[in-house]
Amino acid sequence: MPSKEDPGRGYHDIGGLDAGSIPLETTDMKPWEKLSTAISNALGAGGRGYYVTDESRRAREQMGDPPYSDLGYFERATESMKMVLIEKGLFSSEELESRMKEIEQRMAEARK
Amino acid sequence: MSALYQAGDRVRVIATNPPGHRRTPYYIRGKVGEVERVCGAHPNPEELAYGFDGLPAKMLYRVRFKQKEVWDAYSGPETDTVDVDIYEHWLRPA
Repeated sequence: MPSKEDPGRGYHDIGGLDAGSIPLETTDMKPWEKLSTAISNALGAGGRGYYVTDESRRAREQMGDPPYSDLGYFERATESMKMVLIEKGLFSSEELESRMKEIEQRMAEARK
Repeated sequence: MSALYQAGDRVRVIATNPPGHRRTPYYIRGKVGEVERVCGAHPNPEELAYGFDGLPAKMLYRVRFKQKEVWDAYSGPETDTVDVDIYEHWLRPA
């Protein structure tokens, strides 16, 4: 998807653009980031082979901006994996939504 | 498959902005560089990105560009270079 400033340039293709200052502090991976990475390793080319890295890169370029620029690295990775797996028919977005609600409720119960 | 270009050959990156998953960064399109090495043939990521097998494989090159020729306002030394891995279908003889 082209940007207004430069119609030929994809929003992800930012080499040479001013990206501002770089935050230098390091942060640990959050548990969900580790889990998402583990799932992607298990389902991707090195695991079950449901998809290859190039497909999830393409999905990042296809999700639009927003949300692309608003998402962090692991959020992009997770969202793009979701897009590709839905595309492949492993599950539907409705199934995913209802499963997420189910888990949300279960966790709310557990917190009581 | 044989490589169309060899180390030392001058090549121009085609200046095109097609839709789809493209593996040549925007900033290097249209620039002229020199083949640093032939990286061998690899399944085409521009096809793999859509679930195809990426075959026939495409020849990949490491191309070296002078920073001063890549960036209009580059203020570093004349000798500074940037290496970019580029597939053969993005290159023309220069």
